[in-house]
Amino acid sequence: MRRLRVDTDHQPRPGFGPEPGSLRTVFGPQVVARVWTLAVIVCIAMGVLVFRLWFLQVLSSDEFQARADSNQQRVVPIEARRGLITDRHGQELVGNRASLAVGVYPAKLPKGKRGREIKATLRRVLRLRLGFIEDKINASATDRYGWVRLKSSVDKQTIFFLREQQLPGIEVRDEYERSYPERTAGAQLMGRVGEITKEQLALPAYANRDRYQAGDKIGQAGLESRYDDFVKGVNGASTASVDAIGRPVPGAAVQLTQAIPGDTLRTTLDAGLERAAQRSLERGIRDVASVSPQPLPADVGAVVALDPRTGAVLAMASSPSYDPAHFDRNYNRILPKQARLGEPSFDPNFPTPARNYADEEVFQPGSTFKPFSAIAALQAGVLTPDTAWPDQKLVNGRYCADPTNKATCRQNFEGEVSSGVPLVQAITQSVDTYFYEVGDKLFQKSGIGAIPRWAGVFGYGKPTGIDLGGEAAGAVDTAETWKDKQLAFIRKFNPALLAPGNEQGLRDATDWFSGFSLQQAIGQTTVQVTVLQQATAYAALANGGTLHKPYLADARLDGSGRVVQDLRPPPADSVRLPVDRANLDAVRAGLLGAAQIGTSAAVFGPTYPIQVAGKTGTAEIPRKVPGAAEPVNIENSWYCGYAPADNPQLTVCSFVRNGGEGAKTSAPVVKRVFDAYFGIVNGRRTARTAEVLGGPGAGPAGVSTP
Amino acid sequence: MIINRRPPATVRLGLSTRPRRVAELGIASWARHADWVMLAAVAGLLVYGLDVLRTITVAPQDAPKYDKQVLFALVGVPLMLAASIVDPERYRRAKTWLFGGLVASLLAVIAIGTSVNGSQRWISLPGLLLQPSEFGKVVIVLAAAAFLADRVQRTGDASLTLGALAYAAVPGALVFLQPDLGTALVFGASAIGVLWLFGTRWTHFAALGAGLVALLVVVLVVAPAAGHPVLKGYQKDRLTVFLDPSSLKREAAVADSRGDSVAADQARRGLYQYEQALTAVGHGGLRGQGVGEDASQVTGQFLPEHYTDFFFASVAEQRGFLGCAVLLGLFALLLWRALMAATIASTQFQSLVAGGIAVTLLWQVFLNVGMNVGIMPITGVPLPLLSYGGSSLWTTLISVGILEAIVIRGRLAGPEARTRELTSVRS
Repeated sequence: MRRLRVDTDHQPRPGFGPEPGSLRTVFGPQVVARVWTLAVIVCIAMGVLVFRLWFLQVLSSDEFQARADSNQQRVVPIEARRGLITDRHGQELVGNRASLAVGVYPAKLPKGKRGREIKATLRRVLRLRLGFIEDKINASATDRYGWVRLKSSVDKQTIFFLREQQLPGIEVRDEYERSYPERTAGAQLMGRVGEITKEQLALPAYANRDRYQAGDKIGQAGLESRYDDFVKGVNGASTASVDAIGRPVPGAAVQLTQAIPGDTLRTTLDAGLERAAQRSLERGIRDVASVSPQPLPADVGAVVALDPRTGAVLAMASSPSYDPAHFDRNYNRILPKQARLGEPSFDPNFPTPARNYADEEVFQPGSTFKPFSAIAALQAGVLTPDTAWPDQKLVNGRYCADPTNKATCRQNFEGEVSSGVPLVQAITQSVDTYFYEVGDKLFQKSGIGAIPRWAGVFGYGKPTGIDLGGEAAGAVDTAETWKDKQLAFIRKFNPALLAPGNEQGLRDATDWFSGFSLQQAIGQTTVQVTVLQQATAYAALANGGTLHKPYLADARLDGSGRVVQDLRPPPADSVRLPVDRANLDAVRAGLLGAAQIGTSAAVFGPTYPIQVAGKTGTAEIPRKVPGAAEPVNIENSWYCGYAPADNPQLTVCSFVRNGGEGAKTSAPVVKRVFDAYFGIVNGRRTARTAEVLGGPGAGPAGVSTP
Repeated sequence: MIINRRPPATVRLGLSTRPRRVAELGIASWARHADWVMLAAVAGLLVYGLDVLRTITVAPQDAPKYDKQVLFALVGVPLMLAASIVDPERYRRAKTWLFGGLVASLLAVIAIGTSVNGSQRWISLPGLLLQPSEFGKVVIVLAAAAFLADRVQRTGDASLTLGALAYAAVPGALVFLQPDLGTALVFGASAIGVLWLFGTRWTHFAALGAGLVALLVVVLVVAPAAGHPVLKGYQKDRLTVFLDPSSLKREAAVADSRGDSVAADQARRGLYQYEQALTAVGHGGLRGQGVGEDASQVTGQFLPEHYTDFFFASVAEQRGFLGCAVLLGLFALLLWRALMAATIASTQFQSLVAGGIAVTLLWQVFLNVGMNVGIMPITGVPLPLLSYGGSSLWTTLISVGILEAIVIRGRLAGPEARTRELTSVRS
C-alpha cells in the first residue's frame, strides 16, 4: 500500500531539508549552501584533473616522449642484394631479380570477421593454404609488431589487386629474388635461399643482429649457405616516421642507411660443362631401360668432373634435379613424403632432388675400386705389375677360395674366364678372379687392414673437405669398423639379435668373413664411397699421385669485379701420396688399356680423338624388388676416367643407381662430358679441341706415358 | 484519500511565474538579461573544439568529420538560442512526453539501432546517426526536476528520492544494455544532482551511497566469484584499468587461453586505449607538440578514437598542459555560471534544472578527462561541446540554452518572483 501523506502533516526534522513553512528554505541560504557545495566539488574535480595533467605532462614528460617516439618510428630494413655466384669465366650461375613480396603486420590485422575475410582473400590470390597463413602469423620469427613475409615474388597482377583492395595490415615490399639461369644444372650446389628461422636466429652463428635479423633471407643450403657471410651483404634500414597503420608520414624526414650488396662468389665450375654433365646424366638415366634393362628403374645418379691438376670442380651434377626458380618455395612440401629430408617419413633410398648424390650419398664402387686394391697389393709387395696367376684356383671358370667348398666360389663378371693375365691386363679386362686373388693374397700377408689403409691414403672413408655442407664420409671397412657398423644397424633394426641365445646369429651378422676381403678387392660389400671421393681419387691417379682437396669456390670478388679473397684451398691441402711411380704407372696403363681395348673400348677405343683412360664399374647389390620373392641383384653403374691419358686435364666420374653395366650406362655419360669439354663433335676434333689441349696449364710435369 | 496529487493549477500551468515572452521583450531585453559570460565560455569551447578537430582529422577518411561538426554547430547554436527563448516551465508540463519519448527512442535503439564497435547506440537517419541516449542527459534532468518540483510539499520523503532515481534508472538500464555504461553513469549523476539541490535528506544520500557500494561489490566481486558475472571480464577490467593496468593484459591472456578471441581483443583494445591516451597526454608536455606532425600520436593515429572519446588526449598532445588548463578553465567558467543560474532561477523547478545540468556537465567532463588521463574508467562518455558527434553537441547546446532561459527569466522576474512562487504553492 502506497504511503500517502498530506503535505501539511509533513514535518521533516529541523536542520535537514527545507521547512515547508519558510520562504528562505527554497531560495535561502540552504540553496546557496548546496550550490556552494557543488562549486567546491567542481573545484576539487578540476584540481584533481589539473594535478594529474601536471604529473603526466610536466613531471613525467621524458618518459612519455620516449614512448611516443617508439610509437612513431618504424625501421624498415632495406634488403641488401645478394652477391652473384658465377662460374670460372664469370658467367652468372645465380643472379638476382627484383621482386615483390606480400607480407602482413599481424598486430595490424583486423580481428573477427574482417580478419577472416582478409585471410581468405590472401589465400585465394596468393594461392596459399589458410593453415600456412595462420602459422606464419602466429609463429613468425619476428615479434608481433613486425612484418611477416607471406609470399615472395608475387606477380604484378596480384600486387595491383592487393594495392587496390588496401587491406589493413597487408604490406607489399620490394625485395630481391634469386634467379637461376642454369636452371636444373647444379641446383644442389647453389643451394637455396630462405628466410632465417626462429631456431637459426637463436644459434651463435647468427647472433650478430647487425647482420642477421628476423625476416632476413639467408643461404640455407649449398654454396649459398657456405659463403653466406659475404654473399649476403649487409641490410640497410630506413627509419621513418609512420602512422598507426604503418604509412609513412608525408614530409617527415627519413633516415637512410644504405644496404651494402653482397660480394660475388666466383666458382670453379664451368657453366657449359655443368650443363653438359647434367644433360648427359639425365640422358644416361633415361637410356638405361633401352641399353641395360634393370629390375628397378634407374632413379638417381651423379657426375663429378674435376681438374686433376688442382682439384677444382668443373662440374658436379646430381639427378633428380630441380629448377630452383620454381622449387625453392615450400621446398619440402611438394616432395613426396619419403623424400622429405629431416622428417620421420624420409626414406634414404627414395630419390629426392633435395639431395646432392655426388657427395651426400655413398654407394659401393664396384670395379672402379680395383685400381686402389691393386695399388695396395703392389705397395704391400704381394705382387708386381707383371705378376700373373696361371695356377689360379679356378673351378669351372669360377674362382674358389677353397676349391673343395663350392660356397666360396665366385664367378667372374659376366662369366668371362680370363686367367693367367698380368695386372695391367687384369685391370684392362676388369678380371674379378685376378682381384679375388689380390684380396686373398693381401689378406694372407697383411691381414684385413691393407686395403682400407691404402684406400684411406686416396681419401676414402673420410669427407674430401669440399666446400659444401652435408658431405658423406663413406667407409672402407676393417673388421672393427664392420662390426661397429653392423652392431649399430642391428641395434636399430633388429634388436632381438642382441638377446642372449642368439650369439651365433649375432656373430654371423657382425664377424668378418674371409670372403669380405675378396669382395673388398673388387669394391663390393665393405666399400662405400661417394662419387666425389671416387673422382678425387681418380684425379690423384691421373695427376701422378697428388691428392688434391676438391673445391668449388675460386674467389670472392667485390662489386667492381676485383678479387678480394682467394678461396682456393692452400697448397698444404694437396698431399703427395707415398705411392711408387712404377706401381702408379702400371695402374694407369691398365686404365688406359681399359678405355682403349678393354671394358670401355666400345665407348672410347682408339678412334676417340682424345686418349682416355678409365675404368668401368658394375656394383651388384642384392635388393628386395617388388614382385620378387628373393632379393634380386641390382646393378649400379659406374665409370671413372680421365683424359688426355698422358696429360690429364679432366677427371670425370659418373654413377647411375640401378643403371646396369658401367660400360653401357655410365661410360657414355662420361664420354659426353669429355665431348663437351674437349669440343668433340660427332667423334671429331673441333677448333675447341686444339684450343683446350694446347691451352695454358699443361699437365703436371713428369707424368710419363704408360 | 489522495490529496494534492497534482500541483495547483497555477503551478501546473506556470502562470504565476510566467514572464513575458522574450520575443515580446525584444532582442534588446534578451541581450540585457542573458548571461554573456556563459555564452562566451560556450563559444570559446566550441571554437577551441573545432580548431582542434580541424587539425586532428588528417586522415583522408576523417576529413569530412570537421565539415560535419561545423554543420552540427551551425544547427546547434540556433537550437541553443531557441532553447534560451522557450519558457523552461513548458518542460515541466511536458515532462511525461519528454520522458516517454526518451524511453521510446531508447527502446527503438534496441529494436532497430545501428551498431558501431559492438555497441548498439544509434538510430540511423539519412545523413546522420542519432544517439538518443545523449538527449537523455538533459531529458532526465528536466523530468526528475519536474517530478520533484511538483512534489515540493513532500520534500524529504523517501518516495521522492526513489521516484527521482527511477527517472534515471529506467533509461539508465536501457542504455546499459547497449552497452553504454558511461552514459548510464551520467544519467545517475543527473538524478543525484537534481536530488542534491532539491534538499534530499543526507540519510537518503547515505543509503544511496551504501547501495552503490554494495552494487559495486556485487558486480565486481561477488557475482564473478559466484560464477554469474554481470560484466564480462574485459568490461570489468576497463572500469578498473586505471587502478591496475596489468589486469587487462591478464584478462587478454586468460581470454586467449579460453579461445575467446572477441574478449581478448576487447581487453587488448582497452589496454591499448589506456596506454595510448596516457602516451599522447604525456607527449604533449607543458607547451604541447603543436598542430603539425610533431603531435605524432594524433596525426599518426596511434591514439584511438582521437576525435571522440579521446579528444581530450588530442588536445593534450597538441596544446600541452597550458592548452589543457585553458580548456578546463573554460569548463570551470561554464560550470560556475551554470551553478549561478541555479541560484537566480525564478522557480524551484528551474533551479533544480540548472543545478542538474551543472552536475551532469561536471560529471561528463570529469569522466571523460579522467579517462583520458588514466584516473577514471574507460567509458564511452564524450567531452561536452568538443568531442565529434552531433547528438552530444546539440544536447549540450540545448542545455546551455535552457540555462540561459533560466537566467534570463530569473533576472527578469527578480528576487521577489521566488517568493511569489512559494506563496502560490502554499495557497
